[in-house]
Amino acid sequence: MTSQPPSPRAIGTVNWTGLSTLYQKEVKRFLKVFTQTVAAPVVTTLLFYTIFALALGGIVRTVYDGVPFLEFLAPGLVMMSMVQNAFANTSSSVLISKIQGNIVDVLMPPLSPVELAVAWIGGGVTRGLLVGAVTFVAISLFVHVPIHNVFFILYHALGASMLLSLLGVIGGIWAEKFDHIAAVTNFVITPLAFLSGTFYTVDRLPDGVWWAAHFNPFFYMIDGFRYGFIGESDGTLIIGLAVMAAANLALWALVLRMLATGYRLKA
Amino acid sequence: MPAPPTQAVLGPRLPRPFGAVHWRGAVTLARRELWRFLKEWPETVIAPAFSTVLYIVVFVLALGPDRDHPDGAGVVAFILPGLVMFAVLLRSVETTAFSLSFDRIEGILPDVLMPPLAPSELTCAYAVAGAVSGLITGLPCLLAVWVIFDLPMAQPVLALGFAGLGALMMAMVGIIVGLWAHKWDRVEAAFAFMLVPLLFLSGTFVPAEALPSPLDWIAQANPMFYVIDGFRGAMLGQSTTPAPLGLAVAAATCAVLAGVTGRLIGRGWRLKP
Repeated sequence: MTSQPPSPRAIGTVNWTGLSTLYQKEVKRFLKVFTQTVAAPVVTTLLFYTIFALALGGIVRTVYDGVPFLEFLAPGLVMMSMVQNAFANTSSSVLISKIQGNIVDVLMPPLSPVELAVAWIGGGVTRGLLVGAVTFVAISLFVHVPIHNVFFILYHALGASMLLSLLGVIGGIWAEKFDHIAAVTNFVITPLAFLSGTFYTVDRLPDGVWWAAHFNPFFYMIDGFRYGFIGESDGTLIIGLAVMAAANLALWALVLRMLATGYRLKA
Repeated sequence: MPAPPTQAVLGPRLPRPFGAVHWRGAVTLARRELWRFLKEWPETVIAPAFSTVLYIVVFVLALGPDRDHPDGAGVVAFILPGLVMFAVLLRSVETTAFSLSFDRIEGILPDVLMPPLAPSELTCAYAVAGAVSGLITGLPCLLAVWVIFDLPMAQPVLALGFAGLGALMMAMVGIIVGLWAHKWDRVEAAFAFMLVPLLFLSGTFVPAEALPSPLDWIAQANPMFYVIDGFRGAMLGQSTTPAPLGLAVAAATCAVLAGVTGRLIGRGWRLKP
C-alpha cells in the first residue's frame, strides 16, 4: 500500500477560511484587552462630555435655534471616539506585527491583498462601531439624544470607521517605529478630529477658518452623522455623502496597491 | 540542607564606603531618568504643548460669541492655567510610571535595584527626575498660553512653588503606579480610569463648586485640586483657596507620599520576591 502525497487544498476564488480567521484574530486581539480598547475610550469620552457640559455652561446653551448644546455635542463625541479607535486598531495591529516580526504570519498564507485588507479593516470597523455604540448608550443614560434619520447615522458611522481603518493600515505600513504612529495620531488625526466641528458649529468660525473647515473630511463625517440624530447640519448633506464615498474609494485603492506591491512589507 | 548564609556568616555589615548619602548613585539615576524623557522630546515635550494649544483653540471656538462677554473671558482665563498645570502633572506621573513599569516588564529593573542605593535615594532620584520632566513639559505650554493670550503672572515664585510641589507629588504617585502595574494593561487602566479623570475633574477646566454633588466633594478632597487652584491663583492673582493652605496641603501630601513610596521600595513591594 503506497501512501498518496497529500493533494493541495483547493481554495476557491475567495479564501473564506483565511479571511474569516484573520478577521477573528483582529477582533479577538482588541477584545482580549477590552478595558483598554473599549472601556477606557468610553470613560474618556464621558469625561469630555462632562467637562464641556460644565465648563461652557453647556446645560443651558442652545445651537441652531433651539437644539440643546448637549444634544449637539453627543453625536460628535461618539463619532470622535469611533474614528480614533478605528485608526488605533489597524495602525497598532499592523505596526506591532511588523516590529515583532510576526507580520510574515499574515503575509505567508494564501491571502490576496483584498482578503488581507478586508480582514484588517473589518477588525478596525468592528472596534470603531463597538466603541461608538457603547459610548452612545453611556451618553443616553444621562441625556436623551433623539434619532432623526437612521440611514445617515449608519452610513456615516460605517464610512468614518472604514476611512480611519484604511488610514490606520496605511499609517501602520508606512511607520517603522512607534514614534512615527504616535506622531501621526498626535499631530494629524487628533487635530483633524478636534477641529472638525465636534464642539462648535463651523458657522461660528471666522471666514478663512470656515473655508478650511470644509476641506477637512472629518467635518463631513461628523456633520452628516450628527444630522442623523438632531436633523440639523452645517454643510450640504449630499456633498457629505459623496465626500465619504470618494475618500473611502481612494484609500481602498491606495491600500490595495500598497499590499499588492508589498510596500515596506516585503523585501 | 544548609541554612542560608546569614549576616553573622557573612561577617559584620560594612559601612558604605561613600558617606551617609550616595550622591553619585542618586544623581546618576536621576540623570538617566531625565535623559530618557528628553530623548523622546517630540512626544514628551512638543506633543503636550501642541495638545494644549488644541484644547485652547477648541475651547475658545466652542465658546463662540460668548468669548468676548466678561463671563466668557473669565472662562478662558480660568482654563488656561488649568491646562498648563494639567500638562505638568500628567507628564510627571507618566515619566515615573512608564519608566518603572517598562523596566520591570523588560526585566532590567535589577540594574537599579542591585547598586548600593538606599530606598530613600531611589525615591528621591525617581521623584526629582519626574518632577523636573513635568516642569520642562510645562514650559512650552506656558509660553503657548502667553503667546496666544495676554495672561498676567502675578506671583511667579508662588506659581513655581505650586507647580514644583504638584509635579513632585504626581511623580511619586507615578512611582506607586509603576510598582503596582506589572503589565501595560494596568498602567493604561490606572491612567484611563483614575489619574486622567481625577486630573480633569480637579479644577482643571471647571471650578470645583460647579461640579454636581458627588464630584465636587471628590475634587475638594483631592490634593491635585489645591495645586491646580494655587497655581491659577498665583498666575491670575486671585484664587478660591488661600495660598498658605494650598501650599500646606501640597507639602503634606508630598511628605506622606514620600514616606509611603520609600517604605514600599524599602520592603521591596512587587520588586523583590
